[in-house]
Parts: sequence; structure tokens; C-alpha cells
Amino acid sequence: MVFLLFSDFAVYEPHQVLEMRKLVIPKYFGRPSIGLALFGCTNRPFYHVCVFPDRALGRRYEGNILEQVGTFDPLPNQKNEKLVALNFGRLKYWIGERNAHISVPVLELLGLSGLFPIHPKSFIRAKDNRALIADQQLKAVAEAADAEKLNEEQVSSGATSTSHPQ
Amino acid sequence: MFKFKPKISALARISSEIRFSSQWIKASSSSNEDINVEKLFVDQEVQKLLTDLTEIDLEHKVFRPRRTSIQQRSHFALMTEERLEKTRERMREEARRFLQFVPVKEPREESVQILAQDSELKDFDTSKFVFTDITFDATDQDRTVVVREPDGTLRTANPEEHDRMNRTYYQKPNRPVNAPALFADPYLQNALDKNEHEFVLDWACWFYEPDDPSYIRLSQLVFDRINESGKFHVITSTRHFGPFTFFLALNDNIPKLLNYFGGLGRLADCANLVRLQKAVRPDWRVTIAQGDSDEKIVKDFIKQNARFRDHIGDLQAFISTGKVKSEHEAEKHFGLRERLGRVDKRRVRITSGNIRGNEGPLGELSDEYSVKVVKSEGTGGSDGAEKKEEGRGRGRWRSRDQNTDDKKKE
Repeated sequence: MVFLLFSDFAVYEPHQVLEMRKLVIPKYFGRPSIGLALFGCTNRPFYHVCVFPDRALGRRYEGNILEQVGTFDPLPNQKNEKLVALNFGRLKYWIGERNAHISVPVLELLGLSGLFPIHPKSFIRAKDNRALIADQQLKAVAEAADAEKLNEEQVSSGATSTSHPQ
Repeated sequence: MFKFKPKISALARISSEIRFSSQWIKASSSSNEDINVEKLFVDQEVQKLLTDLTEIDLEHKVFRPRRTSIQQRSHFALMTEERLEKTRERMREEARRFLQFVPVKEPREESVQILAQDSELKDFDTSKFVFTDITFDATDQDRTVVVREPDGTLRTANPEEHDRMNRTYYQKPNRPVNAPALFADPYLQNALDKNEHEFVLDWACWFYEPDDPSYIRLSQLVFDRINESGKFHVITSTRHFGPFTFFLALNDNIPKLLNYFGGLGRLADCANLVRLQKAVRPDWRVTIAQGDSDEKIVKDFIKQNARFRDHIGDLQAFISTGKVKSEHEAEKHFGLRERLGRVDKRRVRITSGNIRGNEGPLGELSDEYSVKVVKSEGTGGSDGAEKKEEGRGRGRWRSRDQNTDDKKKE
């Protein structure tokens, strides 16, 4: 009897089976990634800062979020503030001990918060915005000058037109 | 990365220690050396005087009917004298717990610390970014909140922002994110006109931290208005009376309160108030010897402070004639209190004799309904013997008596 059983095992080749379906716990497997997950509803964006499992385990979706480590509200509130909440204790764990991959938007937030050095993209955005503002100012000045010129012309032409109505 | 966190708290501590003048002492009041107000308030002698001054009015103040979310019925019980006294003592003990004073604290530093200045980052966004640390261990007091301004400056949050973030991410009932309109003036004055001082102060105490600059501003505003209008009855026997009296004594502003006590004939309280003023301001001219009687202390005070003569008419009248403010006059000034007092006099104590009649809890309804007295379940084991005896007495004879009573009424 006993011999028979052993021979059965040899037929199924258990090692090969294990290699085919590799069972892992997503939480402890590979390199997790931290990113923004869009929550909220129509016309009202609201983001959660979430930790997702290794990309080898499939794409990010709501069901496989490992942990929520913060929120980001992109719409400014009444006092013109954008509120960001970050669980720095857990972020330190995922970044420091698990070497998580961090997406660029989160890197930007972390840079602004003073935890990380400021992300280059923030600098680029700032530069672009400044250029835009300068451009608008120039345009406004030019428009004002044009309007003044037009006014003067109208006044002078008006003076002439009153003397010669037709 | 995280280096700035300990640095922030360390700097905040230093700045709170080095402080020259207190927010609780007004600039107008004379001679303010650096008094440590927080330390002075928790001083044992001052605390004892303040507790003595806060009378415990169980019926009309501490345990008065209030609007709450819990539904409760008033509970009537027949008691022996001894048990009544015991119950009263227990209630007084509980009331003492309710009347713990709101702490008097110096306001937190309003100045902020600049952590980084990145001019390259100017105009990265049109609005500020507020970062709140929601780590599990952080408490409301030591939570790190930093703000990135649109011009690229990274700074710590000021107390207003810090507490607003606490309220945003850690909600509690009746603590909305933004301060309720009640705390600003047109509505505040409305509430104070309706004598809702205690409600306003209680809510402010729940909404703000005691060392929040806006809480200190608001409570001082309310205290000043109480003192101006002379409505002291609204705040006596509440947990704000200690800080209120302390605030008046600190600012050398006690004559009106002294007059109020004098008008009620409470000479001991008058003397305590003068003692408190002396304890709070040792440089004060009035001298108090160890063995002075209450009357002597008050008389000395009146003699040495001739400038207050206009404010303390009632007190002087009481000392010279020994009469409290007469009833009609009192009604004009302390309407609520006196009215309540008269109701109290009219109310007859309920005993076994009159519980079935008009004077019992049922009032006039007792003509229509028969009153049955059931021993309450809440009575403790200590009066088991008493219970047994009553039980024996409540036999056939008793019930027969009761039946005849009911029949008579019918």
C-alpha cells in the first residue's frame, strides 16, 4: 500500500505544479508603488494617495489598493488653500523599508511638503506660469496703450466731425 | 527629510517660555510686571479662593433642566432626612466635578517659522498648499502642519490654520471646521442679550483649545460684557466663574462684582474677593492682616478705595444697615435669579402627607387620577431594613386605606 502511494506522488510531479501557479501575498511581494487614485465624483476630483502592489501582479485598480496613506484635494477651499493630508509615518515605511516606486504627482506633493527635494517638474511648472503671467501683463499693457490711442483718435476725429457733420 | 519636526517643537517651546507681558492683563490696567498668569491661576491659595467664590447652586444652575440629546424624566422619591442629606452630598460632589474651571492659559505664539524659501518656485500655483501630518501617533497638539505659499515659501502653520486642519481631519460633534457665526458680533450680542453667556462660553471651550488666541479673545470679550452689564447671575455657579473672577482680579476691576455680592448679603464672599485680589496682585495697596474678620477686610477695602464709591452702593448699604437689596429693587436688577428664588419659596417639599394632593408632583391632575406610590428600584441596599418595614406596613390595611381614599375622591 505504502509503496503504491509514493509511486502516485512521483506521477503528479508536485514541484512542477508549484512553479506553474506561484502564490504570493501582494502586500509583501516585490516593489510596491505609491500613486494618486482618483476618487470623488462628476466634476469634483478628489485623490487618495495610495500604495499599490508590484506591477507584475497586474494593473492598478481600486480593489488592489494596499493602503491609503493620504488625501489630496485639488480644488482650493474658501480660503484659497489646497489641502493635502499625508501619513508620514507609513510613507516612511513604504519608501524607506519597502523601496516603493513613487509616481511623479506624488513626488511633486512630497517635494512641496518639504519631505523630499522639490521635484524638477514643479520648477518647470513655476517657470511656465511665470512666463504666462509676464506674457499676459505685456498683452494687457499693449491693449491699454491701443485703447488709449483709439480714444485719442476718436476724440480728434469727433472734434473734426462736429465741425463737419457730413 | 524629517529633521525639521523636532526643531519646530523645540523652537515653539522656547518662544512660549520667553514672554514678557500677559494677554490676560489689559494694557489699560496699571502696573503689569511679568506675572506668570498660568502659574498664578493654578496656585493653591488662588484656586481655593476661586472655588469658595463659585457657589454651588444645584437646583437652578448645575442640575437645571437642559436641552440635551438624552431623554430623561424627573425622578421623585420619598426619603428619610438622613438619606436626603446623603443624596444632596452626593449631588454636590458630582456638581464639584462639573464645575472644574476652564484652564487659564496664555495664547499660543501667532508667529510662524519659515522652513525654506525657494524663490525658483514662485507662482507654481495660484493657491496655498497645506500639508497635514495624519500619522496615527500625532496628537492634536503636536501634529505637524506646514504651508507652502504661492511664492515658494515653506512655513509652519499659524494656530488658526493648525486647529482648522485638526477640525477638518479629526471631526467631533458640534465642532464644525469654520468658527460658527455665534462667535462674531451681531450674533454674539444677540445671544448675550438673551442671557446665553454660559452656552456661548461652553461651546467656545469645546470648539477652541484653551490656549487658542481666538478663544482667549472671545472669552475676554464675553467677560467684559458681563462686567459692563452687571449680569453676574448668568455666570455664577458655572465652570467659567473661576476664570471670570480671576480675570477681573488681575485687571483690578472687582468693585462691580463686590457690589453684587454685597447686594446679596454675602459678606464672606466679598472678603474672599478682596483676598483674591490681594493674592493675585501682591503689590496692591490694601493690607490684610492674618486674623482680620470678613467685615473688617471689606470695610478696610471700602475705606482705602474711595474711587470705587459710586460702584459699591449696595455693599455700603448692606454694611451700614444690614439689609440686602430689597425685593422690588432686586427684581429690577437680577430678574432671573430672584424670580427663580420666589418660585422656590412657593414650592412645598413633597412628603408622604401631600404626595397624593394638589401639592404633589401631579399637581391639579391629582383630582382626576389616583396617585400610587411605588418604591423605586434604584434604592440601595443600605436601607434594606427600612424597605422591609415599609413592605410589612403595606399590607391589606394599607391598600384598604388607599382604596377608601380613592373612593372618597370619586
